[in-house]
Amino acid sequence: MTTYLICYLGLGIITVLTLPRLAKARGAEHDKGLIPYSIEPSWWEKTLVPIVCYSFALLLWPVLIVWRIKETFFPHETIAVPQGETFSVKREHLLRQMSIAEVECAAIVSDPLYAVPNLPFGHLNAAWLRFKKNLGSEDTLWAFAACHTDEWGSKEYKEGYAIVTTDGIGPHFLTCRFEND
Amino acid sequence: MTAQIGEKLIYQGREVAMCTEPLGDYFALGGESPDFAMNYTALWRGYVGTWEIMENRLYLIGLSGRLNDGTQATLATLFPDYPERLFAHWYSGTLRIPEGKRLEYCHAGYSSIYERDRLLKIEHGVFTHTSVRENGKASYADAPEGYGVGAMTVFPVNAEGKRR
Repeated sequence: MTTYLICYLGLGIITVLTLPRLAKARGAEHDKGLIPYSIEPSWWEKTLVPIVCYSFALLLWPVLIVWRIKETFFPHETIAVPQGETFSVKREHLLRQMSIAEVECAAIVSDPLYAVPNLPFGHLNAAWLRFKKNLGSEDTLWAFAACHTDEWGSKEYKEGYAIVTTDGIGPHFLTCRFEND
Repeated sequence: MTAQIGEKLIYQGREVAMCTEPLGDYFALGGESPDFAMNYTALWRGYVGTWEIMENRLYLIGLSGRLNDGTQATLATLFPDYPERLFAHWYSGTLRIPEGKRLEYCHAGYSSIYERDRLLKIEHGVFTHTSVRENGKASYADAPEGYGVGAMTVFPVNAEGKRR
């Protein structure tokens, strides 16, 4: 019985010393410079956490091996980042009808250091061009402004332009959003 | 969620950590976002941007990140015509710069509390005014100074820099 226990713990020590180090080294070596400052753990993170983790790993090392096999042969898929509630423009948000020429004239951005293209909506010009393609011959273009509460409970002010069709309000183009103080 | 690594801001000649992500607004407003790799739980957005306030305007002057295909992402990756500097005209809001000692560590987002927050108000990329919010005084002398992240998980990547 004692021999089995020593063998089990011995294999545990070998596992604990090899597997996590391999993973950590591979993860860290490719992104030097991306992390802007060193991670500074507190005293209990430096001492207590490693002791607890290594103790568990020593006793439950087969789990560590299964986890490593899973990581190797069944890697993570892209992790979904939570998205806010989809915002839609309503009738009460509409401010005034505008022509494309009016909008584009008002949306030229200038910069003394020439760090923006001389096009409507500057760096967002490509997004504007994509939006403009949705505008049909019967549709009208409206400026809008709205206060919106997202799924996290944050209140956001949004403004932009929306396409109004005969069936209702179509796609919109956001030009500004910020959290209400 | 893990505490997030801040953006860098060059403000009044020194580099500070900023707990605001103006580039996130660019993507939310329809700007094209490359496929950033998320290799650290402390960096879900996959990049760190370097910003500067010059002549009362907010500029993005650098970007460091990695894409899911393993290539390094720079400012030129997102804005090939503006590889050195671009005016953040799309951004309106408040840039938060934590200052002083840490009062309370929260391992989520930018929720940790510091002695002061310097708040820079920006409207359509133009700096309008600054204010300081006092959050309290650290009760012990060796409290950590300056913004930082306590811990994070590093996802293993292969030789090409792709996450495994």
